[in-house]
Amino acid sequence: MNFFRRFRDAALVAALLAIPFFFLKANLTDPSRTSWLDRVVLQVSAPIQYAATEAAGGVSAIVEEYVWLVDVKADNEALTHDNARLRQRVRELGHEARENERMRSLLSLRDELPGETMTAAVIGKEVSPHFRVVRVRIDRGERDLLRPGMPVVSSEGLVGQIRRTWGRYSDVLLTVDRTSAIDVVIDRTGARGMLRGTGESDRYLCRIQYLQRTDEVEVGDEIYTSGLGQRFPSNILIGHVTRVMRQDFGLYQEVEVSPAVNFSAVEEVLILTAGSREQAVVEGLRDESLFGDRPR
Amino acid sequence: MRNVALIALGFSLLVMGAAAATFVPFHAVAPNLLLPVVIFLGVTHEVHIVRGAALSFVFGYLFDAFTGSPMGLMTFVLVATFIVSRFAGLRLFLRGPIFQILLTFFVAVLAGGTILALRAIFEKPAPFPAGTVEDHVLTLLIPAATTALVSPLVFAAVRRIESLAVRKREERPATP
Repeated sequence: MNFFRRFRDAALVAALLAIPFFFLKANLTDPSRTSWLDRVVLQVSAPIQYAATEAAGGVSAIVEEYVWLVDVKADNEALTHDNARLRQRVRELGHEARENERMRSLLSLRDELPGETMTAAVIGKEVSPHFRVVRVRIDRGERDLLRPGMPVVSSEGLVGQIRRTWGRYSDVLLTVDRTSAIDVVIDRTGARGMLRGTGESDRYLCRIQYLQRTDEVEVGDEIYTSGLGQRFPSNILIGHVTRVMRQDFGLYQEVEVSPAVNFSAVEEVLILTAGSREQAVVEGLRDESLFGDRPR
Repeated sequence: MRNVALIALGFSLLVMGAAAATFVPFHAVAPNLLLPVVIFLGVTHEVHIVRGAALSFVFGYLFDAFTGSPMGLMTFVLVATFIVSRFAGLRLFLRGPIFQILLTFFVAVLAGGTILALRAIFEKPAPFPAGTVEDHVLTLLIPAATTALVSPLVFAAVRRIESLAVRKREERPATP
């Protein structure tokens, strides 16, 4: 019995040694030189090997992923910080790009406009209860020889005119202000009228008055300054027609105009200091100042 | 239960080695953490020879599957290591960690040499590119040294598992 047990143990151990040996031999031998025994071993061992390798690979992958997760929190925090910093940088660059674009537009506008111009930055905005800008303040004023009535334009179009000046500041009367009146022309047809602001607190809107009922006008037509009255140079974009109200009677038709300038977003403006009626006044004042006190 | 605990230990050692290798590119000096386990089983005569050989077979197979070495290579080497350790008749654990390190180093060099010999015999063309004998000697000696250095820790872990099992057996009330 004891002998049989010993023989069985020895046989088992020999088998445990022989099996991997034949596995190994079959796996390492050049495929062109494999014997029938190698092929049998390979056929038998292939599915087992596949299953074992897959299982080991799966477990290994899970463990490795877990190990990597140890640093994930710190990585995540660092990446979140980087992300926030880069987002901030993108915002700054975007702001700079937009500012740059506005400046370029303003410069090109400066070249297009007749006469002399002066740049100014918007330093304050008064808003209505509906968050519409009703008044704009700029950083140029009396000391810069600005005078009421001088046209104020942005790259988008006409902003309005100087309403009052003091020291280094000025208030701008917007085209949408109820007291604003500008002689305008419809670009497509050449029809003329008087543009007045509606002064509505919840939207930016102007109306063209005294436009002949027979004059052709459509929604989408562009409205420009006519240049008449010498206050504003001609061909400055004011806005687009958004509504036409033509009645069956009366001499005139009424047209609603949406301004081209987004007053909420305007940051830099140009003031036309020469080429307008006010320029003559300013020039006259300058001449007078040579002989006496500077006028106020 | 002991066998499951030992296989779990071997598995954990493999996983630890694989996880550590993802942080430190120390493949060239990586110790074979399963070799001391097999040596322990070989020199501990309380471990039945069939059980020890079977466990060595499982460890070798796990090693092959994990490391991507040719299937059967480490299985054969670990079973052979077990048999050699068993028939060497050494009583390793009576002689302290220095002796454990020295013996493990010696067995690890033998195991490494066996691996190289097996590959040389079966793999065609020969796996030794010309002029790299020194490299192969180094790749044999360095892992053997690192394996030997960590072996006392592995021996302690395996001995703990084995002794726990023995204690449980002794605490079990005798059947009438």
